Amino acid sequence: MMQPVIRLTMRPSCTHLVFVSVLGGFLAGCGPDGARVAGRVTLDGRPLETGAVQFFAEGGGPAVHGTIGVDGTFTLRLGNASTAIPPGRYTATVVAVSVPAPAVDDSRGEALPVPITPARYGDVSTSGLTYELREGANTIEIPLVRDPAERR
Amino acid sequence: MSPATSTSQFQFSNVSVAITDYKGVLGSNRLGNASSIHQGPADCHNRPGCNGAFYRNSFHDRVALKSFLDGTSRTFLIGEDVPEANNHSAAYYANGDYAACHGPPNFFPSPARPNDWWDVMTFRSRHPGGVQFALADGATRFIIDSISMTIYQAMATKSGEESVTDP
Repeated sequence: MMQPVIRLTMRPSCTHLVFVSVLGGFLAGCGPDGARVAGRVTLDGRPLETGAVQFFAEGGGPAVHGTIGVDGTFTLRLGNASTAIPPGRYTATVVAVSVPAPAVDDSRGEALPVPITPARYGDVSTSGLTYELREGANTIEIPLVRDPAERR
Repeated sequence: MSPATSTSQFQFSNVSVAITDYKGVLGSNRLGNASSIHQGPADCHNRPGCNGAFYRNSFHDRVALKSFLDGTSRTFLIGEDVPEANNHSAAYYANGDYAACHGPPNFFPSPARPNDWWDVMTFRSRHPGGVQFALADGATRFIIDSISMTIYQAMATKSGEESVTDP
């Protein structure tokens, strides 16, 4: 997190905030800086058409997320107001469920769809999807592969 | 406080019911387990034993102040939600008035998926950059979107024995 002191003169507002908040961890809305992250998810080489991605900062930082579009693409967001992601190393998770998802079930109310992505990609401890997000534009390819047993 | 009503709530489709912007904090359990994009201990929403303050069956467990072993000033009690993003928002109803910290603050799928309860039963607001929470000691906190998920989930549990510094 520590920035070279020389950068104080280049980006006083953001860098100064980072400097004085060493105890505070990550900062939201820190000027226009941060990583802008777009990407694409494929499953067995074909674009995943639905689902969500979530990226977890290593070392106990925030979780950022994106919705996967019909062409497999996503843009990461931090909360409800920012696409500026704190740079650093992240572990990604991906979950997509059967489409269309079950409609509202009035009697029981809790129909749960079956994931079409292997469960290991949805668990931050087993996904194996790690990425370094850097200041500025980042393009992330996430190629998911099902084992023969996972294709059912 | 939202004065609005909704006809799309779970168990009340096509019935107009009052909706609530405020939800009890179930804890950090992963609602929907592997169907959810979020993380946490196993789902608990349809049984007793969730790790937070308020959930559908918390009356079974008789959650009392003495069960907040992590400290009342370190445990979320109630947080904000945006009913349009979550069709489990019927007011004064045991299946509409809780959410979980398995996902981060202000998780808004785009486009909205208000019936996908495994992803959207989380806390959110229209305040740019954060969500208001009430803690078990009565204090309120504005929790920023970039909070450490480790701290956020620790504050959702009432007796996880985590060591938490101020977010």
